[in-house]
Amino acid sequence: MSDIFIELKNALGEERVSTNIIDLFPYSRDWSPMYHEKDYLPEAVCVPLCTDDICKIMKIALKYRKPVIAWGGGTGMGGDNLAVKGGIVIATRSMSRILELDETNYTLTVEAGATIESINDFLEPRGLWFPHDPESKPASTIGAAMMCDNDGTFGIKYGGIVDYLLNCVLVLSNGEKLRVGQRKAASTSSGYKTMWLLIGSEGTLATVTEMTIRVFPLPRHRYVMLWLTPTMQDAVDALYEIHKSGVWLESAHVNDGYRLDYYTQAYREKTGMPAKIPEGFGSLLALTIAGDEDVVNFQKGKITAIMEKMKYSLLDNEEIVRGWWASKHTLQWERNKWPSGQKQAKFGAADVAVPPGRINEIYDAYIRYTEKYKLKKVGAAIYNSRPHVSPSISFAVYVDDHDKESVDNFFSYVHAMSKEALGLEGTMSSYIGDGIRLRRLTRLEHEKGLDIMWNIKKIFDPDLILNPGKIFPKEFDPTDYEV
Amino acid sequence: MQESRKIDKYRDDIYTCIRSRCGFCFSNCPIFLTKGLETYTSRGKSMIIKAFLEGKIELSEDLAKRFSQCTNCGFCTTNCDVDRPDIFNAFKEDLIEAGYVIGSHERICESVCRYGNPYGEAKDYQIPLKYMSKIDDDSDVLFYAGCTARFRERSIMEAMMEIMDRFALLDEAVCCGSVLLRTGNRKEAEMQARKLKDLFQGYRTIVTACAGCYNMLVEQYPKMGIELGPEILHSTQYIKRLMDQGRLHLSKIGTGIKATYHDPCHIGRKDGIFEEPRYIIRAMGFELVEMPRNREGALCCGAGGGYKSMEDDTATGISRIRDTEAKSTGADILITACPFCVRNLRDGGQGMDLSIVDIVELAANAKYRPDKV
Repeated sequence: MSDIFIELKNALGEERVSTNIIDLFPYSRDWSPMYHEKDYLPEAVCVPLCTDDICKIMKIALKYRKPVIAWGGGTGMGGDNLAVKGGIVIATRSMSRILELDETNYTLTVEAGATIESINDFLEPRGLWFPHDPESKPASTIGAAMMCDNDGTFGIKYGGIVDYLLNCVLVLSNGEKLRVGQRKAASTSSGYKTMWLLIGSEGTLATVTEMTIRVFPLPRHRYVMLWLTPTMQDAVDALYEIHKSGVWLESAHVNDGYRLDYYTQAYREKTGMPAKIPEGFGSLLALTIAGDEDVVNFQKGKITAIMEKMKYSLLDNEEIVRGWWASKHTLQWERNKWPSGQKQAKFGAADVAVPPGRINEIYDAYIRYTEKYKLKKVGAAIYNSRPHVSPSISFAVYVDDHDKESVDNFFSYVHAMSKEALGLEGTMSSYIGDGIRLRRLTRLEHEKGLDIMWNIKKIFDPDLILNPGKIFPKEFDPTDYEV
Repeated sequence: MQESRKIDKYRDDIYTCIRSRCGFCFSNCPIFLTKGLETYTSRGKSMIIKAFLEGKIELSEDLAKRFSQCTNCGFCTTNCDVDRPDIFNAFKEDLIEAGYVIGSHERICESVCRYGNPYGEAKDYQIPLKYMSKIDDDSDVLFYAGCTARFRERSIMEAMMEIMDRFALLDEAVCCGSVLLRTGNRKEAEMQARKLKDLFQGYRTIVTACAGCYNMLVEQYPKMGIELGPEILHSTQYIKRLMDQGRLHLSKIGTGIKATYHDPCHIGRKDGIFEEPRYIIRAMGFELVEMPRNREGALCCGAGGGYKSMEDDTATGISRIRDTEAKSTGADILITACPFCVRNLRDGGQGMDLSIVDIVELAANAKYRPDKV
C-alpha cells in the first residue's frame, strides 16, 4: 500500500479508510445514464466523523497531490462526483448530526452528510420543516443540495438552496476550515457573497461540512389540484394569472402530454378504467396551496375561478391526484416507481431552463431532438425553482444503457437541447449541474466569464486537487472524459 | 461453477438497481449506519455484484465477509420492487459453493446439522415439571418455541407455556433453518424445512415465540416450494386470539408505566405484524410511546442474519443505538417480541437504566389467575 493510504489510515483509523476494490465499486457511478460497463473507480474511500477528519484528509491529499471528491447520496445526474482521475472519495453520509435547532430564530445547524429526509424527520414532530424537497430526499444530502444547486418541489414559494443557506463551514484544499456566510441573519449586503460562490460549485472549490439553514413552520393543511390545459405554455401563462390575483402557491409543476399519459396509464393499469381526459388537453398544471384551512379554501376558490374563466378543466380523480403527489412529495407509492419504471431502460434528462415565454419553442426542440436521436420520450416536467414563475425543465427520455449507441445518442441529445436553450436566452442546466456531461459546452454558456471562474478555482484550489475534470472544458483540462 | 451460479438469476434485478440508483434502501441500514461505507448497503452490494457479473472482480474471502455483514433486516426492500436479501443470500450461496465461508456461520451450520440447533446444545432443554402437565400429544396446537427461546432465553419459552392451556411439543429440537438460509446455506435450510414439514403434520396450528422462525415458516418455506399444512401464528397473534376469544385475561400490570415497542424485523417489516403486540401492550395498561423509527421503518436490533455470531461488537453497537432511541422516548421499559432481539438489545443496553423484555414474559405475568385472587 502506498504511503498516502497508510497516512490516511493512521489519521482516521484502519476501519475508516478502504482501498479494497470491493469497497470502491459502490462509489464508481452516479445516476447518469452511463453505458452499463462504465465505471470510474476512486483509489480510496474515507469515512470521516467530523470536520477535523476532513481537514486531515485534505492535508494528506494535498501533500500527495491526490484528487479529492466529496460524496453525498450518489444520486447526481451529471457525473459531478465521479472519480474521473481516481483519488480519494470522502463519504460524507457518516457526518449527519443535528448540531443546533434554534427555534426562536427558525434556524437549524446540521452536518453536511445529513439527508434532507432525515432533517425533516427531525423537524416534523417540532412543527417545523425544511421545504427544499427534491424527490431524491431519502438519499440526497444537504451538503450536495448546496454543492449541486438542485431544485425542489416547493421552489415557487420558498426558493432554492441559496434562499435557505445562512452560513456554512468549509474545508479548503489545504486543510484549513472556516465559516462563511451571514451567521443567522436572513440577508446581508456586506462584502462578496463567498458562500453563494460555493453553491453549485460541485465540490471544485472546497468541501462543505456544516450548514446553518432557515427552517419554516409546517403548514397545517395542503390541497393538491391538477388542471388540464392545452399546452405547457398555456399552463405557464396561467401561473402568471394566478400570481396576479395574489394567491401564494406552495408548488407549481407543469407536465406535458407524455407525462400526463404516464400518470393516467398507472391509473388505467390499477383500475382497468380509462381516466377521463377531455379532448384538446395535452398538459397538466399541478398546484398545491398550504396553510390554515380557511386560507387554503379561499385560495382554492380563487384558483378555480381563474382557471375556469380560461376554460381549463380540473382533473379531479383522487387516485391520479394521489399518485401524482406521491411522485413529487410523499413518495408513498404502492411500490417504488423508480425500479419499476427502469427495469428495461434508464431514465435520463436534459435539464435546461428558458424564459417563461419560450416554453413552446424549447418543447418543439424536445420533439425534434428525441426523434433525431431515436430516444423514447418519458415526457417533460417544468418545475419552478425560485419564487414566482421560474421554469426549470426536465426533458426526460429513456436510454438503453446496454447499447453504446443509445448512450452516445443521449449525450448528443443533451448537448443539442443545451445549445437550443442558450439560443432561446436560457441556460443549459437548471438542476443537474455541469459535471462531466456539459463541460465541453461551458465556454458557450459562460463565454468570457469562464476565465474568471477558472481564476477563482485557482484561488481556492491552486493545486487543482478538488474534484478535477468537472465544469471546465478541455482548454483548461486536456483530459477527455467519457461519460 | 459458471453454469450453476445462483446470482445469474438476479441479473436483471441488479441492473434495475444500477439504473434506478435511488439509494432509498440505506437510510436505516444498520450496518451502513455503523460503518459508513456504501459497501454494506443494498445499492452498494448491487454495484459490487455488477462488477462481479462483468468480470471485474472475483469471488473471494473479502467478498464473502462483506456480503455476510448484513442482518437481513429487509429495510432495503421497504421502498423497493426487488427482494434484496433474497439476492444477496443467493450470492452467499455462490461464495460458499466456491469455498469462501465465514467461520462462525460454518460452525452454526454444522451445529444445526448435528444437534438440530445453532448453539451446539447436545442436550435438550428440560421442561419444568409445572408445565409438563400441559403437554398433550393429542392437542392440535403445537408450540414451536424456536432455538433461541428453547436454549438461550428460556424464560420466554416458559412464559409462553404459562400462557397456553394445552399444547403439543416436538420431542426433539429441530431448527427452522432461518439462520442457515440467511447465511447462504440454502440446501441445509431446506433439509430443516422438510424435517419440520413432516413433524408438523397432523396439527391444526403451530405457535412460535420467535420472529425469525415465524418468517421462515410463513414466507421462506413457500419460496422454497415447501407448503406447511397448519396455520402458523406468532405468539403475539396467538395471545391476541386467546384474548379475543375470552380465554386469556390480562391484568393492568403496566398502569403508570411508560413503555416503547421495538418491531422485530421478521414479523414486522417482513410480515406486517404491527398491531397485535401494540394491542397487547395497551391491554396490560402500559402507556405506549413510539420511537421515531417504528413499524416498517424500525431500526433493526443488529443481531439477525448470523451477524451477531460474526461481529458481536458491531451488532451490540447497533442495539445500543436502538436502546438509546427507546430511552429517548422517556420509556421505562423496552418491549419486543423476539428472543433474539431481546438478547441483543439487552447486550446493547447494559449500563442503561432501561428494562428490556419480551412481550410474552409480560403477558405471562399479567395473566389473570383466579387461584391468586
